[in-house]
Amino acid sequence: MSKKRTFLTKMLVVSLSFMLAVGVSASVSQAAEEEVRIGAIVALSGPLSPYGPDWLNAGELAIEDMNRMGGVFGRKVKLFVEDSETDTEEGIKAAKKLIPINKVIAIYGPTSGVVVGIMDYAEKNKVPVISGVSGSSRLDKTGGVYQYRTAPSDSYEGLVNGAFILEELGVREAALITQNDEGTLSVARGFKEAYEKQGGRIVEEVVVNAGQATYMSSVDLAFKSNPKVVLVAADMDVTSVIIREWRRADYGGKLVCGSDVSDSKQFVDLVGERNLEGVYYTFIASDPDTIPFQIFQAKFRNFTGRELGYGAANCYDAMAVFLLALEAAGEASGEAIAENMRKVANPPGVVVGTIEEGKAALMLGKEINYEGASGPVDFDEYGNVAGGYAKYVFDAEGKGVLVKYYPAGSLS
Amino acid sequence: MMAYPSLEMTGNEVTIMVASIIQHVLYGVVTGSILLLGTLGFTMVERLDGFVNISHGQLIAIGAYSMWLCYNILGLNFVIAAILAIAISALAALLIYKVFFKPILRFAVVTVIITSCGVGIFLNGVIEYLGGPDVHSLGLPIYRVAKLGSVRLISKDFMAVIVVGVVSIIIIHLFLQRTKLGKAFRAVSSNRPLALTKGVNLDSLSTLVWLLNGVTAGLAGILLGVVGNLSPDMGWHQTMVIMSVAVLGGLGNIYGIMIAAFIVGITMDVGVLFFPSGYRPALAFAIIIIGLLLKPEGIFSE
Amino acid sequence: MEWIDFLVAMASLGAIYGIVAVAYNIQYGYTRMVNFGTVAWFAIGAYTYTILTTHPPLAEDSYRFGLELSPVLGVIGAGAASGVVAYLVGLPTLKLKGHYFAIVTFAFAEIVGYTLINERWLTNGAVGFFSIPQPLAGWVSAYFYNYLFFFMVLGVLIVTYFLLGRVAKAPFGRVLKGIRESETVCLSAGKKVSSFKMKAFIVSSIFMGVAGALYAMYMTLVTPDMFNLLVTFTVLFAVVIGGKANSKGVILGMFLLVFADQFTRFIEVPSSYAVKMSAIRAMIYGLLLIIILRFLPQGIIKEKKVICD
Repeated sequence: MSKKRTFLTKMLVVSLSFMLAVGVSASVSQAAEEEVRIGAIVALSGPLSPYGPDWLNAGELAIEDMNRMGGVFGRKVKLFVEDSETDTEEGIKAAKKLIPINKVIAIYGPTSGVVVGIMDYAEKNKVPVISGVSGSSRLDKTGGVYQYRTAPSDSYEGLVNGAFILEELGVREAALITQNDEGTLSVARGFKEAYEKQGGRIVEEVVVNAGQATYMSSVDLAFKSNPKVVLVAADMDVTSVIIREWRRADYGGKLVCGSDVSDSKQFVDLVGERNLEGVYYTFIASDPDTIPFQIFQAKFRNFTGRELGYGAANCYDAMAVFLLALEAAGEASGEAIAENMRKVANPPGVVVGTIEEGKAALMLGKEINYEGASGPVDFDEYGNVAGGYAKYVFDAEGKGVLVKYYPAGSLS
Repeated sequence: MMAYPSLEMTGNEVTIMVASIIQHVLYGVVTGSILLLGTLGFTMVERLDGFVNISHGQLIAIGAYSMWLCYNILGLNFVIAAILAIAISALAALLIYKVFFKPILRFAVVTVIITSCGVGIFLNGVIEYLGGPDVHSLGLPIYRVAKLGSVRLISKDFMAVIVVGVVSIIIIHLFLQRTKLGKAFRAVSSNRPLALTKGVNLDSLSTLVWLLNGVTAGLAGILLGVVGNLSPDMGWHQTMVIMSVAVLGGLGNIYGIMIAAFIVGITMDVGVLFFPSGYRPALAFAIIIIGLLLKPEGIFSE
Repeated sequence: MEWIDFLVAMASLGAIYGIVAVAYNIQYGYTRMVNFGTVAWFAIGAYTYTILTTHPPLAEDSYRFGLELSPVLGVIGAGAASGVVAYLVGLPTLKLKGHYFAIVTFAFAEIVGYTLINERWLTNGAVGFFSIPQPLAGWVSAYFYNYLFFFMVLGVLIVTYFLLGRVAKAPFGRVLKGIRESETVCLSAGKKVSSFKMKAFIVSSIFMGVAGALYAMYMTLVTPDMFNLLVTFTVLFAVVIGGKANSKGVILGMFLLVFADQFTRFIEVPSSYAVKMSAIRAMIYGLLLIIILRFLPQGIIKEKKVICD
């Protein structure tokens, strides 16, 4: 028995080491000298998984646009993809693999929790991080040299919700249902502050957790004092159940949802298209009338066969700015990107709306100001951008109808 | 958060509070019905095979996803889809038993428990691989809630959940008291050595128990799909609360479980009226702790 | 050679969990106390260290205490807090039998988890803390800090191994093993079982708390969702795979698990498959566990049998 044990043990140890060695050498030996390497840490599984593929595709599209013109200063760009599982610890492990082993010079795409987790490590290694979807208000006053985002801060979303409910809907007393997660809590907090400051009153505040079997009692609690509006700050899964509960019990009033939901097929299928009529939601909106947005919309549809969803335009711009900064720098290093970010994204400069225009202008020696699919993309000292939000309402077929657009900076 | 009851409340306020409590009790009964079905199989396995099956929640998820497969993807009629889904869960449960657990039952209990952790992780991966990482819904129509004056009661589909729960209790009771295998199960459950000497066929009993395990868990999964959504991690979410019900009911006491399931469900749903709502699931755990400290063998143990 | 950086980073994590595993071994391997709430003490250690060493709250923070003490005090505080909590929890629960003790500790861990999320004044809620100070960070460049940290953690692991190993070889440890084999026999031999169990519980919890502090340093951030059931499971797995009451095996088991978990990152797949990778990783991890326990149910390194005296 003990001979068998020793043998089995040795087999186990040997095979595991073998797997590790093969894996490591395989990835290291693929180092091609001419490529410029960028890492992507995207939520492909976990709670934000419905959006992950869009975010990844947007980044890939930007890289393809650049590579089609010969890459950056003649070198092709290669993307190394890791799944963050919408989990901070996994995101950190992904960064610790991408930076030393895959030798990426920049990181694209993580959600807020992961950004916070890898910020210090990336900065120490001079690897800039940019994301189109890291809206948490935690990042309002951090970063700026090695950390950027093309997603507007959740605190602005709070202002928008407050203004919308007070002015557009004319309601002074509202209830709040919040999911016990960082992103949704930050949206709720922003709303509370803004709403109360502008004279509104929150009559009931209910907290829910993900993974509950039923949400009936929580929804009932929120509608206890018959508020005319209930703001729901929760992810797609929980929001869909809450909307169904609301319909079932016929509470009346209006539901206003945060930016985690949209009229994407997935959400509409979750709730049931006939159950959505009259529900409001928020969309981080690029101004849909601009040309860069329309160009991107068409390209995205072509590239993926889907309509673009939440965050796609912002992600595209995030990658575009990285690539243009690289082109302007003429050198493949994280430091060079960091030094050139504001040169390509902020005024002054020739206004360009696409990667192609930007690259052409740079090659002619001009300074550029990228204003992309998601908006002007001008970074402040903390690497933030102002962003616009739009409030939509679902019609009887589950399609979103624009109610009001709040351009960047229109509320203070 | 609702105000605590106090002496200064007016008659109207008291009425409203009573109405709320009734409503929330009804919600608790719905939650309890689902919990009951979810916990039955877990308890039976623990009694018969002697280990705490951490992968039990995944059987519930398998039930839910099978329903999604049959009803949404294959487009079958609701009742037929449900029956098929339950059959799939039952077979899956039996398969899991034969492949993973039966060969190792002779090992130490803790080893088996940890294997069940591994099985749980494995099954979770399979479900995520086959069903995708995203959330799904069965897309059932929504029925309006019946009202009594201004008091909201319950909608038809939730009523159906309660009915299913009650009917299951009756069926299980009949099974335990009237059928040969049911009596054999009770015998093994309370005194194993004695039952064995009386010639109970453990092998066919095991097969039956695991099939039943799959049936009840699968049904619980379907009901979860009726009241909420499906996600790959749904199994893990249920496991925690199920363990609290099982402990409260006295691990292995079927009738205790039935009562415990409703106690836990009602406490959670009425509790949100009085405690910060963020702690709703934690109430279930607080119940366990208090229960065990007061009576370490379980409230209803035999 | 840069892949050594990655290995070192993973090995640091392995060492941190290794400390928890060795400590857990005292409870489980020696005394058969099946604690399903391990992550609670780990989290308490991590959060205590953080609250003691982080900066006072800024305008946008919800928490109220940030004491900015030195890391050493932070670690001591972490261990102390875990030990105190162990005492408080142990008082009513250590007399419960196996199954029930497991479930109560599990429930306790869940409640700690919800407290971390909800009590924002203490823990900053779901947001957590970031930019946690790392000791000696200023001494060397970022690149070398990876290694410096690893040696620090390795040092603590070695100290833990020897300290707890001494405990195991001493009469105290033999009593614990005896308790595992048969409580009744030990009771009749005149040993006061409950106080031994409590001491073992407190001592091992202190080390778990220290490991938690190291974890906070390693991650430089703490959020409630980092402290989940998987941590408890991972420790349990390492101990069972490594072999009960066998510290060497336990450490080996832990490193094995940490590396097995991460190696799937290295298989290059087209991005359309990347979505499935986390599911595949779960399947492989689960199967690995099942297979190891099937064929090596006593663990990788068997322990030597000793009789209670």
